Amino acid sequence: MIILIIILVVAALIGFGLYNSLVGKKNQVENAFASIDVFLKKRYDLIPNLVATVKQYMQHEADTLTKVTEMRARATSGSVGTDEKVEINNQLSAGLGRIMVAVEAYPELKANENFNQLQRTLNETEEQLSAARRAFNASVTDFNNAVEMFPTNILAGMMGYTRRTLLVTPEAERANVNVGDLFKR
Amino acid sequence: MSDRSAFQDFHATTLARPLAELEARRLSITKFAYAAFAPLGLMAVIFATGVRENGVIAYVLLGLTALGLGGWFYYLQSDFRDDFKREIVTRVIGFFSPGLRYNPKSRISRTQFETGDIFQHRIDRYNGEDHVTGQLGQTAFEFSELHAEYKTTTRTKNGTQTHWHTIFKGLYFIADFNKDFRGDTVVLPDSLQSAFGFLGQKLQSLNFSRGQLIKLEDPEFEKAFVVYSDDQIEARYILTPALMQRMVELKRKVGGRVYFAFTGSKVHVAIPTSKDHFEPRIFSTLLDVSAIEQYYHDLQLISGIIEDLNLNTRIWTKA
Repeated sequence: MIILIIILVVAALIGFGLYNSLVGKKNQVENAFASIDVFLKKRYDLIPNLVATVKQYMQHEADTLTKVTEMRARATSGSVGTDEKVEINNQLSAGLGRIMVAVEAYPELKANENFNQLQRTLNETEEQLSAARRAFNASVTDFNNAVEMFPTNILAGMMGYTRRTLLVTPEAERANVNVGDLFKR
Repeated sequence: MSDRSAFQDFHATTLARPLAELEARRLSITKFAYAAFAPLGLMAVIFATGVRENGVIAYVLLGLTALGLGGWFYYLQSDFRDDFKREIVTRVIGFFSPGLRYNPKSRISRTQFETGDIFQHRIDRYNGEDHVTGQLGQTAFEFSELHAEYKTTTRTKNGTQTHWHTIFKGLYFIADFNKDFRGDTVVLPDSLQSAFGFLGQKLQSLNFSRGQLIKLEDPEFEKAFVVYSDDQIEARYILTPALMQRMVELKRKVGGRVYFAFTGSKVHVAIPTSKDHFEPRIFSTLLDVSAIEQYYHDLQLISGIIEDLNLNTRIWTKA
């Protein structure tokens, strides 16, 4: 009788432990996703400044600048869903990348102290953003492992947890990495 | 002019004269050593084989003489060493980069070492020498040799016995990092995961004296290192895929264990070595260029960490 009780108590404790670790992992994923938002917001804040600084120098890139401004407005409007938001931000990355490449053709702009500072901040934000994405992917992997591996998969099935998808960098943005090479990152 | 011929030029113009003087001193010291210790050794052998009536007294006398001569030799030798470092090593370092300061008797402060938090054991004895500080490119840095130890005492029949254990012995390098960050991240050589795989990783995440375990994407890096940090995102902000590659490369170059800590916007690199750097060799000639060149190479290797980790790339807000 006592043995049976002990077995039950131990089994219950293990069950609680597994349950809590699953919930913890799920929250970790959500937390990581939210922190991407923090850095996206930081990037939105930079864009008006950047556009204002480069506008007077870059007449030929007026198109790109307008587009970037528009996309920023759409992304911050609050009426877009998650998928759409990801899409807009991918385009935004590509647009910013184009601007940074185009800068090479404007020596006065490159010499501008204000622009330099903006460029540094933007570099930093992009790097933080990519760190946040990687952190998100790491926590999703952790979560997915728990959902699929024994014994947590049994519990996950009962809780209705399913695999999450990783954030994948689209082609356009991979090209953006080459922009970094231009600046000898 | 190539690096090598530039060094030889420098050697011929600047070092040759002080080296010749030091060489003369070195020779007199080795002569003293041979002259003093050869007869002493011979006497010891004679005493040991032949039976003497006043054996005890003879042994005591012999011991005292050996002690006295040994002490004198040590004094000569360390005096020579100090002068060698002041005359030669200082000049080599100045040649390498004029902005560097060299203090043979100083070291990385214990506070700095403890701030790095790579080695968490309580320290009972802290020594070090050959402290170099300065700036290369935009990166301020310093390094020195360090030896940190802790002691244990065991009780025996005749009282207590003290044992000293090494926590860290080798080169300790600190440089200004090119990005700002607030938290603490340590990168340690991985022993568990490479030996036990997934289970090892589980054990790593249960390390209570460190922050959270950071799992990174680079499989080569993950095999070589284990990362703990108090901030998942900041750790990845520091450890970009490019930097991870560079750290693996540095580890390969060092050919042994390397420890990293990122704290207070600085990077600490600890490399355990048994080699004593920047020391003269008493029993071989100083006039050999390649022996002196070795100091230059060591210097290149150590300060090369700045390039290895790409610390002079300053494209972020930290100037």
